[in-house]
Amino acid sequence: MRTVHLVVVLALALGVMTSETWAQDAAPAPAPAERQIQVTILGMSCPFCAYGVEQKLKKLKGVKELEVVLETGLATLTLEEGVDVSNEMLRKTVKEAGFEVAKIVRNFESEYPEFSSKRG
Amino acid sequence: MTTTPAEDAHRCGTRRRGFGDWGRLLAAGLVTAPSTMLAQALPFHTETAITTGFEESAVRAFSSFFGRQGLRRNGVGLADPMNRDIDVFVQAFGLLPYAISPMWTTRVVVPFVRKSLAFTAAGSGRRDYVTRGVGDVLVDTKWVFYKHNQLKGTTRVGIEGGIKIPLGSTGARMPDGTRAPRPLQAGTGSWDVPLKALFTMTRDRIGLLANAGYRINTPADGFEAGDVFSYDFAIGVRVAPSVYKTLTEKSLMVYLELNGEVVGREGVAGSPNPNSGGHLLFVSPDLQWIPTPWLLFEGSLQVPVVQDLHGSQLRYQPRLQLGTRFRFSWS
Repeated sequence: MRTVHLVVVLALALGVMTSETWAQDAAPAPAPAERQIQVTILGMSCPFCAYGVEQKLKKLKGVKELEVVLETGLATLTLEEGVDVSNEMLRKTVKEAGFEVAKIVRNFESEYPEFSSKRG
Repeated sequence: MTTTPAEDAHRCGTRRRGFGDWGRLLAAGLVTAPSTMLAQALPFHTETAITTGFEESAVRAFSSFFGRQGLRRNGVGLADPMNRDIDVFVQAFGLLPYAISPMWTTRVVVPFVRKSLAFTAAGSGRRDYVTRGVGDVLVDTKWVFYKHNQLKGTTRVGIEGGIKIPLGSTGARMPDGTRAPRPLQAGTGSWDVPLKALFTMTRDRIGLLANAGYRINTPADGFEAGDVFSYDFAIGVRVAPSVYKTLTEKSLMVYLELNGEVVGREGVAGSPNPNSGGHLLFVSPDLQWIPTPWLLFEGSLQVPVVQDLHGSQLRYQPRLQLGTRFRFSWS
């Protein structure tokens, strides 16, 4: 009787392991999301005016892509792997272009804990 | 007896008046000279209080065509025995407007000027004088001391001041070999100081701007152009796109400006010329096309709606202006 129980338990365990393996094969885990920072900028009202802030943000070290949308005042910086840009640097850069930062949001945990504001 | 055109003009007592017109035209041309480069906050004539960013620069080039024709006194047309027709073409370049800080910019403006004066000289038919050359160089600076930014808008207040350096050509000769009168030269020969207060407010698709300025003109070669008080109002509307989806969208702006000037009487050999100065007001519709965020094309037609001119003077004709602005970064 004990032998029968042991066989049943082993069979169930094997079944569970097999099903997990199958599930992993069928739906691979999604690639980690790109590291992005969204900066809300105040003061931009035309593309000719906003050109300067776009050029300055693009030149920040580690910025792979940049999209600026005037309607929402949002500048979305896509960063290279393992790179972060401090909020201080972002504020300084935007200020140098003549504008102001209202909000900075990351989709990852910042390497600058004091500035971290991970998007929920 | 054969006389030179200059002698003819002098004998008719119109030389001073006619060439004084030239001085004011040139002064007006420089007062409306290019602004620091920034859009619905960038009308053609009214100066914006928005500055280029730190280490950002822009170049502005424009051409102006304007003239004066038709003698008037107190609004009543008079016969002009010389049938004078003044035409001015100014090609101006705003160079190296470097931003020392985000709120402090500098600018150098170099105009190339072509002036022509056509008139009928007694006994010698129609005469036409043309001078051309580099005009006086304007160096100025703009400081914005108040700024309030908000989403899709900003409010800024600043001042602008500079100096016009008499580097323009003053060596033009008349056909008879004599030196052309100073107002007919490309350069004025005088050191002048323009000062201006600036206000700019933008809210999404609308921009409102206002300027009040004063230009101190100094004497040179016995001639002094009258000082100029100027006032400007502008409203700008972004016609397209109604909503910006990306920064690279093409934009079309429309502006309506009011550009006023109260010009003092000019001085000739220490005496005021009664046939000079007055109040001018232009209504200026402008169009502006921004195909990319760093390039802008624009055009303006200034129509004179008030010409309250002292004494007998030629009427101002509409002014046509076409230009472009280009932004770039030094770093």
